[in-house]
Amino acid sequence: MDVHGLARLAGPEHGGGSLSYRDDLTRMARLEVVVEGDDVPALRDLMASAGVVGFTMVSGVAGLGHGGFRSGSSLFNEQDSQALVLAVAPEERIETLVVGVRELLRERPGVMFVSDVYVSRPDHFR
Amino acid sequence: MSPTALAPSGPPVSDAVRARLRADISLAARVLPVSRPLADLVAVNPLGGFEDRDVPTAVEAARAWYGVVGHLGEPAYRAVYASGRIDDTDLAAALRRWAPEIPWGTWLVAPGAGSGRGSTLEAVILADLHHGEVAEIGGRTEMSLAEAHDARGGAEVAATVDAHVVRWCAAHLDRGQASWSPMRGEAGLYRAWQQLVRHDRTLARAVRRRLATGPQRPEDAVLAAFDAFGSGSDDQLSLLRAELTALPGWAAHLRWRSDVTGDAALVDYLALRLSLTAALIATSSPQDSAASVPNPGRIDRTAPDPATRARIALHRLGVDPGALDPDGWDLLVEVLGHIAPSRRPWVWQAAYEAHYRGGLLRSLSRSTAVSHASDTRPRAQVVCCIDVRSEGLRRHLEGDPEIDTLGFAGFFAVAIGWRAVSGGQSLANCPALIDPRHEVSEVVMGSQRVAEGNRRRTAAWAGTRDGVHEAETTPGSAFALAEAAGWITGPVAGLRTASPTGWEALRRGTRRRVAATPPTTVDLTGCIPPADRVLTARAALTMMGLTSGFARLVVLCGHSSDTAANPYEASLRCGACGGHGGGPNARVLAAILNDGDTRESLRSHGIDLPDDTVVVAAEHDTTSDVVTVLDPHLVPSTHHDDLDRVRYDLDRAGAALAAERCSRLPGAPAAGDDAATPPRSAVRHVARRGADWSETFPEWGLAGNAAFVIGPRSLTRDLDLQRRVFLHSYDWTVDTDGTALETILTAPLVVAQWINCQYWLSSTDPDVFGAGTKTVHNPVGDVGVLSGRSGDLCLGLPRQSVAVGPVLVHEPLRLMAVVQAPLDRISAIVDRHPRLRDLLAGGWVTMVARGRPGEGWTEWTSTGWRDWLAPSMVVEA
Amino acid sequence: MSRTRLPAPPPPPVPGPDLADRTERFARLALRVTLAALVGAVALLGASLGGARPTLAVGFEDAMWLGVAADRLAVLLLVLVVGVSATVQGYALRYLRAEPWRARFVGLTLALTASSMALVAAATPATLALAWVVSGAAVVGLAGLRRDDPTVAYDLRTVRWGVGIGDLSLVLAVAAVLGVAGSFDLRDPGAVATAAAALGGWTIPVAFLLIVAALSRCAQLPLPGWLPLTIGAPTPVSALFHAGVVNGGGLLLIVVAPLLSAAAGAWALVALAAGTTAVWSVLTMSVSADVKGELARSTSAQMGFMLITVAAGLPAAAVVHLVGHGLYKSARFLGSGGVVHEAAHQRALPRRTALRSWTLAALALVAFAPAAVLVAAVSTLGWGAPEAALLVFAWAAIVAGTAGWARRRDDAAGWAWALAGSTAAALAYVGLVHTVKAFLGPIGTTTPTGPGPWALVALAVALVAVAVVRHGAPGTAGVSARLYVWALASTHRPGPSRASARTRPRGVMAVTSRAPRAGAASLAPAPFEVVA
Repeated sequence: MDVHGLARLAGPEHGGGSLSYRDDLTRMARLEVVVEGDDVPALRDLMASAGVVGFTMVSGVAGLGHGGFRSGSSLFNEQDSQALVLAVAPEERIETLVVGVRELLRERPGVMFVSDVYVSRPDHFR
Repeated sequence: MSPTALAPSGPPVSDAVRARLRADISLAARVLPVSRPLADLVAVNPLGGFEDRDVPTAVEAARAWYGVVGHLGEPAYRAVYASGRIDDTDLAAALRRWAPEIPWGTWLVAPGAGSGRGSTLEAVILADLHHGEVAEIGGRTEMSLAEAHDARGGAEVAATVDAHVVRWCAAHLDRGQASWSPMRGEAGLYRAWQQLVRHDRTLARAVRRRLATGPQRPEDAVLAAFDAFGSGSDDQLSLLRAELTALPGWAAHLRWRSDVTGDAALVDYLALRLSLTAALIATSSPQDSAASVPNPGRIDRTAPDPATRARIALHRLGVDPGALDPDGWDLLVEVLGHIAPSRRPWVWQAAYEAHYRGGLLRSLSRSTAVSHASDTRPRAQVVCCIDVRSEGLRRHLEGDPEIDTLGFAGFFAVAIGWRAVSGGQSLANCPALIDPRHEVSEVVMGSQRVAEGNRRRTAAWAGTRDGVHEAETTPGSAFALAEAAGWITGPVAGLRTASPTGWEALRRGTRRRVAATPPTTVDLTGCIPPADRVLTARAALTMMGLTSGFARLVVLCGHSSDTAANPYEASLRCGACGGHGGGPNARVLAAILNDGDTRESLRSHGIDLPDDTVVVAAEHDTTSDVVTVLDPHLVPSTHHDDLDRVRYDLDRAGAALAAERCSRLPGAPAAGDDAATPPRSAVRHVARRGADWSETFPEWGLAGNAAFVIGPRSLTRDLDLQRRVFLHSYDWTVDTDGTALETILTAPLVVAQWINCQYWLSSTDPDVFGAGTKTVHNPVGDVGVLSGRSGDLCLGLPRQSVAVGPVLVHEPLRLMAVVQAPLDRISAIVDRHPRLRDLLAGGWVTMVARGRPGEGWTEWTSTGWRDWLAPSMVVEA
Repeated sequence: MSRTRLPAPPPPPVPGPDLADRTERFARLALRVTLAALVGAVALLGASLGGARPTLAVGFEDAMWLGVAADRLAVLLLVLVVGVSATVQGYALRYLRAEPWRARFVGLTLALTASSMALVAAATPATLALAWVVSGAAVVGLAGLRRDDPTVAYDLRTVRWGVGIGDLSLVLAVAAVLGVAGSFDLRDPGAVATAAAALGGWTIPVAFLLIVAALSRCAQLPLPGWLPLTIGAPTPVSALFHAGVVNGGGLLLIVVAPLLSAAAGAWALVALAAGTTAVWSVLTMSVSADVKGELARSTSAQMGFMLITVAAGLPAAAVVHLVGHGLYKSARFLGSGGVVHEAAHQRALPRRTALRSWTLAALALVAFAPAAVLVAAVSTLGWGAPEAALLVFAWAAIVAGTAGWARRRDDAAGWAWALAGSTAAALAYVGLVHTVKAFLGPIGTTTPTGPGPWALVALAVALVAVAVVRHGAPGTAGVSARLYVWALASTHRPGPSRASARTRPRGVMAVTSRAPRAGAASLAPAPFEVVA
């Protein structure tokens, strides 16, 4: 697909940036959350109600953080592991979602990152 | 903003506020136990949401919502003491384990000094334990809006709200019992209810009008109710928890349905509950606040202060308080201050556990069996589930020294969705901790024609039952059906009651004649990729420490239980198989281990299954103690003799186990004092228990469970563990990198801990986390049971699982894990798994380990390993 | 190689089967007595085939005041009552083991069985009233076995009132009859008709009181629905109630039929109340998601149907229903715990196929066969219009059953089986009704001058309407929603206030030591006892 095609798809609301290729893409927000495995249903509920239609999940992630080193998934216990959930959506939806996730993380272990992201096919994220 | 937010009642709500509410609901719901449908029941820790705290703190936290007690209560422990199952050395050990730094042996009053008798600090504390005034234990203090309204003296709202909520929850969550059920599977309960409730004439017109014009979104309805009657959004989480725990059984099941099947949502439930509460409160006439009653769960009486308790205890010992020097007095009062009367039962509980644990560890140390794997090749190796009931079967099987047994999680490391040959839905035959990884189908062996014939016969069998069911539920047709069918079902009921085994034989015989199932097998092709087969086989064999010295016959023995008219049938089945029978999993692992290509790959990993080793699947019915060999048609003719001998052994062991169990089953034939029931009549008797529709005590399940031994069988082979111990085979020398131990400690141990907690709390809190007596159970389809005509869904195990009438049979002891493995390896695993660490540090599980036979036992503590304290103190009293 | 097993710490002792226990002995004795009574009842059944009609009576002043007579109706019901009681007691022997109120259960069950036996064989009005009141008291006692449960205690008030109003009505009616007409042989329709004639202006109030008594015992509208409130009682109690107790109302109306026929509008009143109950209970039953609630409401519906049958002048058919339903419902209650297993079993089967249009066509064709059998029966056996109306219900059951079958076996062989099965079912049904009718001989010869077959037709029409609304036929959505909520609202009535439920002592396993029983001192450590 050529550059013009991308721009057409991006529609009128594409964000401005200093890098030229961004002109052809749509600015959205990206939320990355690492939570305990048994908090994933709560997270899914939040995403569904905030209108975030899709997400990517990696279960059994390992890492070092505030609470020490956490190993990845144990062979036969998926609840005792962390999941990384990555969701991209228009900013206002992520904004709603962030309120919910912050509330969740007030009492539950986990981390959350929000960042800007540029996507080529915005219709996939609405 | 969406126009829906501008609904008549309630202020405009932003999406952010809604998101915050939804997050709070998820957080609030963490105090709810996991409540699976009855057909898939597995034991869980009802206090699972509190596991990050130590046990007494967790119980006290949960008390505010549930009124849970968590222990037997001091009068009970004192009675246990009187019976000899706790003694002073146990209490001394419990005190020392609780606070090793306190100088328990200090003489407060030296023996010869003065006119009175001498006494140590410990003796005074023991006197307080024995004679101190029993603390009153509070109940639920956090009240829902309706309860709070009632407590303020308002017109009764809570009972109306509960009845209404139960009615709609039952209609919404029912999965096929009611024949007219427009609410079933309705995604948005709140919206659907709002449409319909306007027709509910049991509610006042004003209430109905208010509900019909309420907010359309469930979040907004919850927030509107809180705005009107809650006390501000700061403690929104507490308010939500109080609402959810008003009927914890229904809420817990809703949570499971929302998390797992997705056909229900807690926010809808709360919206329904709260908007009704608010409407009822708003329309009820204001009441005289003078009529207000105190919070029923709160305790007003204050416990005696430590100094008073010290004086009373000294008086009991015949010691004059004036004889104590000021330092001694201060020490005594300080220590008593730490052991508040409300915490004293936990000292008793620890002593109760110390009594059993000390005895078990002493037996384990004395056990001198050596592994004889190297001397001769065993005739057969039987791998059983870790379930405590397997211990009995294994012990009796080993009566023949040529048979070796091993213990392994009953799903045999194959987490499968199992589709039986009858062709229905796939069932998750794996622990609740994981999701099925492979879909496996049972298939008919033989031609397409055989399979088709089987399908038709199954359909005919099912069609007959469905026809009767259809006639029962169609309006008008039920009249004639009942009057005609009764002439058959009445005599059948008489037969089933008079001769349960006769009826069972008749039923099975008919089924066999009309719709016999041809031989079947599991088809691995397309279900489990070859690489996964090798992984599974390696994981299983390494975890159980069986990587060499294979016998000619390896029997993988899962377990199940068939009981008649028993809603809690699944609680007797394999917890590692999702409350189902373990036979399918055993068949799948057997197929994998018999697969030539898999064996070839295993050889490259150093696991050499000899060509003459055949793996066979079997299933142990724990109610009848009959062990059935599955897929015998797959065993090559070279091994028929071996199979026949093993079958004989299994029959013999089953009969011996049945005889052993009869001594503890209420209503079993007693052969007189101390003599065991003869095996022959025991076998007949236990067969009756499974088939009998009037049997409320089919078997004891896992009652009595108290410990989990992880190590080679040589550790326990000499012992009669009385079916109280989970046994997982493990050989750390085979487990080079420690992953097998890591898996055992993070999965089977957790499942065992759930079972242990389930039995424990069903015993100590039968009204909260127990399901009450079976004789009044009223099942709501397979969703759960009601105790009587209405009310909350029951949580936990029925009384008949833990007690005979007023007498507890299950001793509520928390789990002790005994591991034989290098300590640093265990520590490293615990440190990597914060949840496991929480369980150990919080006292949910106590872990004791030793590196190798002959070493002393050491206990894991959060500050490092500590020598197991032998309760050998002699107490001066 | 022989090894000695070291003992690990033993588990606590389990209280033994304790045959010495007085309650256990009492329960076994009661069962033996009931079984003996069953043998007796079966013997009477045999004797009655030979035409015997043994009577036992106490009388004075030339009139029989208290007495029982074993006519064919009585012996059939005796076999039912005693048979169900024996089954239930055998079941309870194991089921209720270790329940603290077991001795009371056994005693009350014996009382209920004995009074029900007297009731079904009552040969005089006084016997009837006495047996009725005693059985009513036993019902209240059994329903209140678990009075310590606040909900049971709360519901017991309604049960007491719902059963008591019938007891009071019957006592008043019998007092009036005895006062005006004196005692007479209740089993003789002629004597009943004579007494009715003697009542004169008292006929209508007495008939009304008798109807209230029957409606109360059968848990019919508009009286308080006591039956669904008794499901807090243990399962065997429910089996007894639904198989034995509720039948009393039907028996009463059959016996006093000549009196009711003498009162204008009496049968219409019965048909109205019973018909309304039948339709309403079918609705409430079909919205109940709890098994016992569904069964209890279904009993009210069945009893409504049975009373309509009596009102339509078909006492023999009503007896077939009484006995058949009693046996059926007791078995359903005793097996109610099996629904979870059944749900699991259904899950292991493929989904049922939907009824497609050509399936419906085939069904309609197959439905002709049982219809033909039933029509042939009406003509060859000389049955009248009421019987024909009744057979419509049998036909409906056969068709519904066939539809259930067809959703599993929608193949040619399946349809052949359906044809054979539905024909056989129709034949069996006709055979059953005919046999029982022939056995009973002429009972209730007086044909009620009431609504006759029209009541049955009206019921059938109403039920078809219910089915149509239930299946959401176009244009009925509003009615359907109203009916649904209305029916649902009658389930799960509020219990006692939460505050009162909470103030009871919690059933915490507050354990106290139990003194070892005499002779059991060798049982080492004393077990615990719960103060619940």
